[in-house]
Amino acid sequence: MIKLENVTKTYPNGTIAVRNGNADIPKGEFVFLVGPSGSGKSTLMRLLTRQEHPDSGSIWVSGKDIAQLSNYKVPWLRRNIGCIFQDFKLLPNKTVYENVAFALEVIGSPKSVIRAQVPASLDLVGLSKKMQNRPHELSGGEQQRVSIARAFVNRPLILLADEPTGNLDPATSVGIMRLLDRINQTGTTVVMATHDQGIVDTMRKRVIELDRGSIVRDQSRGVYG
Amino acid sequence: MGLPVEYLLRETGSNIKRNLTLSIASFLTMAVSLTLFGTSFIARYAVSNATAKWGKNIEMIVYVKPMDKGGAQDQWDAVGKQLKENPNVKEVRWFGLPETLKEFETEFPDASQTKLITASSLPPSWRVVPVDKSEASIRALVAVYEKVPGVLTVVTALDTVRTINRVTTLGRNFVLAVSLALLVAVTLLIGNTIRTAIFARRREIEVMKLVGATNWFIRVPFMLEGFIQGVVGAGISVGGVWAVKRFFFDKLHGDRSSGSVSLLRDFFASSAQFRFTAIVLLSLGAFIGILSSAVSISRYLDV
Repeated sequence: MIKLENVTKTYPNGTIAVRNGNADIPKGEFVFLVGPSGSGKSTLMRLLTRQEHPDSGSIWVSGKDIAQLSNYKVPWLRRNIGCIFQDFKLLPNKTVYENVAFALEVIGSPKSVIRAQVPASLDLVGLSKKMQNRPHELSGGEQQRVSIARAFVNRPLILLADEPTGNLDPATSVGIMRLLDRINQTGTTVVMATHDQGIVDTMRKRVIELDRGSIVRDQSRGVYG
Repeated sequence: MGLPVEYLLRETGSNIKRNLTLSIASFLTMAVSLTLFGTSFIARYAVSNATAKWGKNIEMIVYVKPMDKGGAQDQWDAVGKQLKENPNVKEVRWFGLPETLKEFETEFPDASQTKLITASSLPPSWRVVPVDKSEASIRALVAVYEKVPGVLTVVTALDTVRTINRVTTLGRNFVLAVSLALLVAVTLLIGNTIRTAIFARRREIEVMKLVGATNWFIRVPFMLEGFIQGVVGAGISVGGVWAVKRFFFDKLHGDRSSGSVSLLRDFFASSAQFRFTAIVLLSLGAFIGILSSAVSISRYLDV
């Protein structure tokens, strides 16, 4: 599903964010990206959604080298990748329902699809009863569930999660991890960057560790460090 | 993939509402600048309409009696013969009935008036280029030909008319320059309004990009906003130019009896000329709106 071949990314200030990275992530896998701040986890995520361009190497996503992808095809790449973030990135002036529907609306989905998919996705994350609330009326864990519903509403092949539990307490984090695990069970490939040792050690999934841009460890059923 | 109309109108509407003060500033500036621009257009038409018959060095027109006042071709030819034999006259051109009728219809396009007028009630004329164009020489010619039998009246393009021409041209160029400066201002203003709208919606744009909205999907509401500002401003300016035409030029033109403005009464623009001006203004407004928003988008929206 995702394959990195000798990927290097240097920022204009000279920082080497990813150094000669190689990895192969098959369909349906659950992978943790671990490593200290600035080790290149977020850059790797941004490379996968083509928010950044690699200097060299190939990045294969569902059979296509996205380093060679022309700009106008990038939206179609992103429709196959759901993203969630530490800060949720919800729109404060829209209701929960509208936030999730927005993701379908802006890719031109028909109304009938929106009416069917949005409640189903909110049901999956357990927020059917809060559809008409605004994000600020929800707890942090609930807001992250909304952002998961938004990322998943289009049934993407891949879910990228950049420290999704970074702002949440341990109990709430467990709930979010259960949800991501359930989404993974449906066949979606999940890549999650995290600093949460407890979560990594409990879940015992594949762990890729980065340090100053280099992949220093790639271990199936690994622990944090 | 088509853009859903409902989405487009909602987003554009909320952009304009959120940015109301800037939007109003944009389209008012647009309205003022295009009103001035349009007025200079109408003034150009008025000057050229008023001076059309004075082109090609013609300084004096000898109107002969129309048929319904006893005029006839042999009498008209006699007047022409006298003019041609005069050593102070350089050139004489015959302006016959068909040309006279055509000129009349251009000056009075309203059908109600032209229906009552037939060729037999219009005076044909001799258009005269004198050797000496000084006022004294022309006045002397007028004095002679006013008394020739068969002549209805003699009119001249005296200095006053020429001065008015010069002054209106000067005024028109000044108004044009001011309106062009304002058009530059409005282009920058709309560009900034769009930039503010982009900034206000940066979170939404970020989410749109993440979930795979196409660049056009993100751009079009902003371009529509620029277009609407341009067209609304231009629409107001069409009203402004109409008012200038109606309450200034048409007044001068319609007031045939007033001696004090008799020199100005030929300054007018026809309805067709006004319609053309309106189309120019609306197209210009739309073009400026789309252009400045497109430039803003490409500079501030990294899509």
